[in-house]
Amino acid sequence: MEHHSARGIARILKVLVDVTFVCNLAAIPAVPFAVSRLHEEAGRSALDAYHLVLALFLCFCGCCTAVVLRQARRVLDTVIAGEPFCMDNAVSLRRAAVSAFLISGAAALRVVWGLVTYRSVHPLLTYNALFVPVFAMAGLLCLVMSALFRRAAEIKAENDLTI
Amino acid sequence: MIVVNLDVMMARRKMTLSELAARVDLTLANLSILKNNKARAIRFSTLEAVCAALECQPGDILEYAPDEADVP
Repeated sequence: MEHHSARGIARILKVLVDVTFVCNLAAIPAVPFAVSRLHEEAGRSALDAYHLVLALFLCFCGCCTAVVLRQARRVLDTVIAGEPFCMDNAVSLRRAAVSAFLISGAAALRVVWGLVTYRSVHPLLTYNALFVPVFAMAGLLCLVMSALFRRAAEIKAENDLTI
Repeated sequence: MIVVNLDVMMARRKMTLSELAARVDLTLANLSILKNNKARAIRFSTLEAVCAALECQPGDILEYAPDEADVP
């Protein structure tokens, strides 16, 4: 009963992840245009360093989140298929962890860049600064999950070969 | 390593794999894994059923053979 409800939840989650993944892919090419528009609204003509860094950061994070979502789709596919405890999921979660750490690192770099450029504590009070611990923790969580799935896959293989 | 001599005992008892599978209530696939030394472990209940079906002792089916690396 619980197994079936887990599959049902996984199906709903897969639809949501699919939609987010498609939106993510569509948003990445639109980032330079959106940042350029933001720049124009700010009333500036030449592209300044802030908007350039923002565009690069958003594009990079967009690519990383696409990787995370793709891995999530793969994990959910195995849950829906009823075979969640496989080595592929451990690999997928490790990839997702690496992507999360990259986002965290990029956000940290942007904070440092802001601190050096503007010589104020303002960059520490932005959402960008919040990305650093949030994505670092998400990466660590994915690493723990990866280790758990790896162990579960090993135990399952051993159990399958116990006659 | 532990070697499974199931095929030897089956030959002595003139019993086929499918016949043994039916007697011990195991799938043919699982019994093949056991026979071909691919199993990682064997449950006591399975061993008991196999011994009962083949009228033998666990020692007739399982044998310890030292690995080449372990031999001094």
